[in-house]
Amino acid sequence: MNLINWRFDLEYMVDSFSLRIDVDVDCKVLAVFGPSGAGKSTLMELICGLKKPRQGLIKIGEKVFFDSEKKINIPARERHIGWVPQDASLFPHLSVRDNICYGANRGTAGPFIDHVIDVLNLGHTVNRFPPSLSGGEKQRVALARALASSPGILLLDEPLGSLDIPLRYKIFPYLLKVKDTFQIPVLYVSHDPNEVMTIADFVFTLVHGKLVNQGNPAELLAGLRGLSLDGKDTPINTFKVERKELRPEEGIEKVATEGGLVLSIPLNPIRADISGFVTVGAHDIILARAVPGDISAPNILRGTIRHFDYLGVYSYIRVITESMDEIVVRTTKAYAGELKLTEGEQVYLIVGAEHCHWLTTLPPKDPFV
Amino acid sequence: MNYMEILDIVIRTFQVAITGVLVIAGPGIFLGYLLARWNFRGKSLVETLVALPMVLPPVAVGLLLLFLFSRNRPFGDFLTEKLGWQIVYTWVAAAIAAAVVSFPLLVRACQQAFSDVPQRLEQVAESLGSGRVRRFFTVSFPLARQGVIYGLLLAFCRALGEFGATTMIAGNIPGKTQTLALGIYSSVINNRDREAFVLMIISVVIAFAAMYFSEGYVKKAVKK
Repeated sequence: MNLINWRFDLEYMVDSFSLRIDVDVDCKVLAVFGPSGAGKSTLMELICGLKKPRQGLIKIGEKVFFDSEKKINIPARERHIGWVPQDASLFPHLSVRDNICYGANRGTAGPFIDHVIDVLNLGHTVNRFPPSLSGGEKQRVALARALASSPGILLLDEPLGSLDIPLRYKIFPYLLKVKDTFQIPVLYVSHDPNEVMTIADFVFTLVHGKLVNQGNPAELLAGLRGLSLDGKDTPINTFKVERKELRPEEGIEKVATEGGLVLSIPLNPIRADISGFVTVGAHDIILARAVPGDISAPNILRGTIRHFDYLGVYSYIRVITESMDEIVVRTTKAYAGELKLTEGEQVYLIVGAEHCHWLTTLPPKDPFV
Repeated sequence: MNYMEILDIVIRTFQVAITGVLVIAGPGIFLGYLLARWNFRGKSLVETLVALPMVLPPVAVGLLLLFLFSRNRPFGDFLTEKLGWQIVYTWVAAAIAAAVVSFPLLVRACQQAFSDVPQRLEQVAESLGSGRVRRFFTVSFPLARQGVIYGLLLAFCRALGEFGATTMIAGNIPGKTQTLALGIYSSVINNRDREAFVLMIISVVIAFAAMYFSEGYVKKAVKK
């Protein structure tokens, strides 16, 4: 797939919210990153043609969708954009097959639709109706429906946002597979830095409707790893690691960060890469004052408490390890209070190997196997 | 009143109510959709005008219709002289009265039904290349269908019992414009209590069956 030019120079206002963006970038997968309420979904709707900017330009590749100076405003139905909303928005009265075929060209799309269904592993669902589908299946059907309309661009609006974390791990490889198989330029909206770092080759960050920075995802979002911006989800700690040692007899492998933090994680025999990202949920880490003895978790990391954040019933404790890696731990407020933890205090983090996961960069043939 | 006359009243009541509902079905559904989906200047005025027959005394509605369709007025004169349609004091007039008083109920029910359809689904359909008409028939209407049918049944029930406006524009002519409601009234003022009672029982059975069916339909739809 060739690089495509994304050009947004627009201004949109409604009530007290305003969105101003000026982006001009060449890339294949562009990500929009930002917290809830930043204007990410509004931007999607502007690009789709469901909302109209007050003024500006929306141009993707050679196609001008909106140009206030030249008075161009292509109707949404003529933009050929495959839009996947966060909640999937499947037509509940149509079967999965009818949903997928809704925007397809009736005469020529048959074999292509079968291909889409095959790629997204939806063959067993085609005669079912949306209310009977799981969250992950709904997202894949929404993706298939968008793809079946043979779009010029794919807009994925937080496609994993409504799924819980284990399901995200299952569905994300499909997104990567779609990206590689269909060779369609993708605009990917997310508030999860891990997703953005894995799928996109350029990212811009929106906060309160304003563009705050843009650049390479790994560089731009490295400082945000482990942080969930809207506090709705459990933060995920992400480590860029290299594989150091395989121990098949023990069922584990050892990986290390650049700083030297070594983690034992479950052996992944089908994975060929020696480097990548490993994730650990903030809720999967136990925090202790003293070195625990005789426990099954192989990863006991010493660190210093740097900062506390409180959100709802949880406290988020940022710990700097001896390798200078920052790790976010989630506990209940009550627990943090009972231990009377303070900033600057030395603590131990206990991480079970089974809670460490490779962030998949190459989709397996069937992630459900 | 013999059985044939009672049967004649029942058939005419159904004829009037069904015709009235069929006449308003298209405009009522369309207006309900417009009010649910479009914000335009004067929307409140349109909503108020639509609701008016529901809150006005039915005889006042009947009087307005009489003014409109009377041969002494331009529109009525036009219908009679140019098209040869004599409306006033016919069963057609009764159907028009039934249609007018039922219209607000149908529009309100349809407006609610279309409002309950997530607009996001219509937007997705649009992004998939679907035009306005296709969106309506493939997404909006199928999803609002149950609410629309409920509205039609409600309008039918209201049309069955229409009295005030009907007497004004259609009169109460036995064998010609007399419906169940008018028949009960005639029987009572002529001291034919037994007849009135029989017609009242028939009215109750029909109204109960229609409402039972529509409420049951809604419950079934909610369960789905």
